Amino acid sequence: MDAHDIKTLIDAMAASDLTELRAVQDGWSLQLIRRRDPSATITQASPRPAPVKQNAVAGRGSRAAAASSDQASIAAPLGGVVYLSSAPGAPVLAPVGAVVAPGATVCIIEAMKVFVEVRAERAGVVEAVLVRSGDDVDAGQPLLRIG
Amino acid sequence: MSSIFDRVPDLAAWVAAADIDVLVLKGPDGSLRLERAPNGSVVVADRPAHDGPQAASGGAATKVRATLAGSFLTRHPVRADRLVEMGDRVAAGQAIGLVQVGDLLAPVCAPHDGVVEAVIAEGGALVGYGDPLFWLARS
Amino acid sequence: MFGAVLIANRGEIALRIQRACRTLGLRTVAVYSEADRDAAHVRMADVAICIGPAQAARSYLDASAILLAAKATGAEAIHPGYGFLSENADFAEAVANAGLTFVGPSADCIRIMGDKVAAKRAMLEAGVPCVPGPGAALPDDPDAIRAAAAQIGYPVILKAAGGGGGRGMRVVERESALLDALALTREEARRAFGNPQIYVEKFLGHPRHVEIQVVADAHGQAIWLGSRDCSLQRRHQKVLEEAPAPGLSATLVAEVGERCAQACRRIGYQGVGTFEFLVEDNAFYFIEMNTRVQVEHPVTEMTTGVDIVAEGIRIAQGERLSLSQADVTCAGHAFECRINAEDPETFTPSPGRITRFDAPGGPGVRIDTHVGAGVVVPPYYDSLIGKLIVHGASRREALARLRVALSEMRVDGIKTNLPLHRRILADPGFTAGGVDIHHLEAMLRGETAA
Repeated sequence: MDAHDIKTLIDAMAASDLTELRAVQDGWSLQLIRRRDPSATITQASPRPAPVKQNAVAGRGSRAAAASSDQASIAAPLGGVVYLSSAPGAPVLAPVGAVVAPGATVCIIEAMKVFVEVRAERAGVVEAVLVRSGDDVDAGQPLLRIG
Repeated sequence: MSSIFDRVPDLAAWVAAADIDVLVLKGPDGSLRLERAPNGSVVVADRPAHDGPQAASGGAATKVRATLAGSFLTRHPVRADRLVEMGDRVAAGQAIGLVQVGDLLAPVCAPHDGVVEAVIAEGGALVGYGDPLFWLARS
Repeated sequence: MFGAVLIANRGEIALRIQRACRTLGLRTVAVYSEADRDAAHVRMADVAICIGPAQAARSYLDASAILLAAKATGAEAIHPGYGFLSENADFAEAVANAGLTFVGPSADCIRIMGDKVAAKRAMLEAGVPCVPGPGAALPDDPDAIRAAAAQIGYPVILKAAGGGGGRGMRVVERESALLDALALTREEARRAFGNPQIYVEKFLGHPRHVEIQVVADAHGQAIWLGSRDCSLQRRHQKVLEEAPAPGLSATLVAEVGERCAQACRRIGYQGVGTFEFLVEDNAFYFIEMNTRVQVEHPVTEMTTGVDIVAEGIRIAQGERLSLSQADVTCAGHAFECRINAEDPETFTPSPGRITRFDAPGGPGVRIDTHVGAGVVVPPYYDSLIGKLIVHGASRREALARLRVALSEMRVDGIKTNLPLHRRILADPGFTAGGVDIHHLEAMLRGETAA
């Protein structure tokens, strides 16, 4: 994520009435918040980038993403480590541009020695993959954007 | 590659223009939080990483952490002088501290060029993986 | 002798070992991953040190990081607990080579027991009853393979010598399917375990899982501490255990127990260990030996009054067993429910923050846990968050106490399998005692009489 990427996201936020935007890419994360409601308090709960992160922020982030347009993101059903392919060396399950059918496995989350398949709820085209294989994800964190 | 953390003034201007109140940016080697005060001015509120000194310039400093458990040394056992002093300018890859485990002396290297802002851990202290040892300001 | 023990584990067993060390006057060193910074085992240790990031491979499974931590902290012994590096012979050897004491058996013993073929051979030599089948890996000659299976009688089961935990196994119903099944199992074993050796044995249709706890010292003494029944399993994972195994002839159990102790003396075993058996029609068949403390050791502690973990540490210090076989008694009955952070219906893991934790109490009730209200259960490790252990003068009393305890216990914020345990306690087959290893899965499929 470089200055250009960040500027693009800030411009996108400026052009909308979103109150929050969260983007994750290549080990970077950016969170932009606009305090419309004066009672809203900003909580950046964790003082260090702990592996188990604040769910509230992720939750709000996913809502913001869903509200941004008619695009939908697929959110992590549980916290854990995400894998984009079913085995090391295997092809990515749902790369950008892939057409996914309802019920198709788009990625896998490993939690507590169990692999949980994350499935697409509806048909669409993968517009963006928001995480990398091996990333820690929170419950509710957007994983892929389906257009 | 120049770091985005060097471009705080640009970021501040952008968020102000976009009427954004808070920007939190985290990357592999640092993090940054910008918060707009009610009067509209932008302040570097904190780095989510807590206990270090604030870089007056607004450029983020990097926390250099231990990569193994052992005794943290600021000087080599047979040398009288410390490897670095606060305020020293250091080059990427330069050994700025040591972690000792038995006969093994593992160097703690500067991840980038910079200035040693603070020595966080005490010489001789038992440190674990990930424990902060130095603040290293980008220069 | 050693004065400081590094506990190379996390969760409830790290706490359990810490307690045993402290009762013995030993200092404790906790190692932890970045995900466990706020864990109870870190808080309560004399010295605690972070050894790596959250992934087990780079922390609790990183042998060199653990050895360096032992050196850095001045620990003189390493207790591996269960799971992680506990049955890794190379680790045990590295600990010894570093001049430290490994709390457990020698690397050689771990190595023998980790190889199913070698373990079976050792057991046969010691007179421990095994599942019928040749005590050696199958040859390549098709006729010899057919002959071996025919001699046992179908159905037979093919097992990878390097497998375990239900992986690398295949049941063969008739001779026509034998060679194809063998080729498949061999290939899986080669890929999964790096060891293509396969052996064949009789397939038991409705066995129970019964195990014998043993303790052996470095002076040639070995005793057995009674039986446990761990038949309630789902996907080869134990869910609820009890001691003693109900409905078995005491004479038969004593005979098998004595042979287990004899096997320990023969192979020079040292420390605590468990012989696992399948039991069908009152016959014991050895499956494997666990060369470490078991998750379910507390049920035996409750019925014998022996602190098994402390005994294992004393033995590592070179002391003699604190009791002889004649001193071992079995008083009453005990159960253990493994409380897992998982959905009780779908068994999906449920990591997250515990918002409320009500522990039950009363006579005979013991909770071994590292969690409480406010604790975050990380997604990186297994789902066990605690064990509810209940003792009573009889199986009937223990069951009644367990029912009350389960009704009192409450964990909010994450999903747990407490509702599953309550269902099990309402199952007539379980309350009668002596169900087989398929019972729980049948119950979950709705196939047992409610």
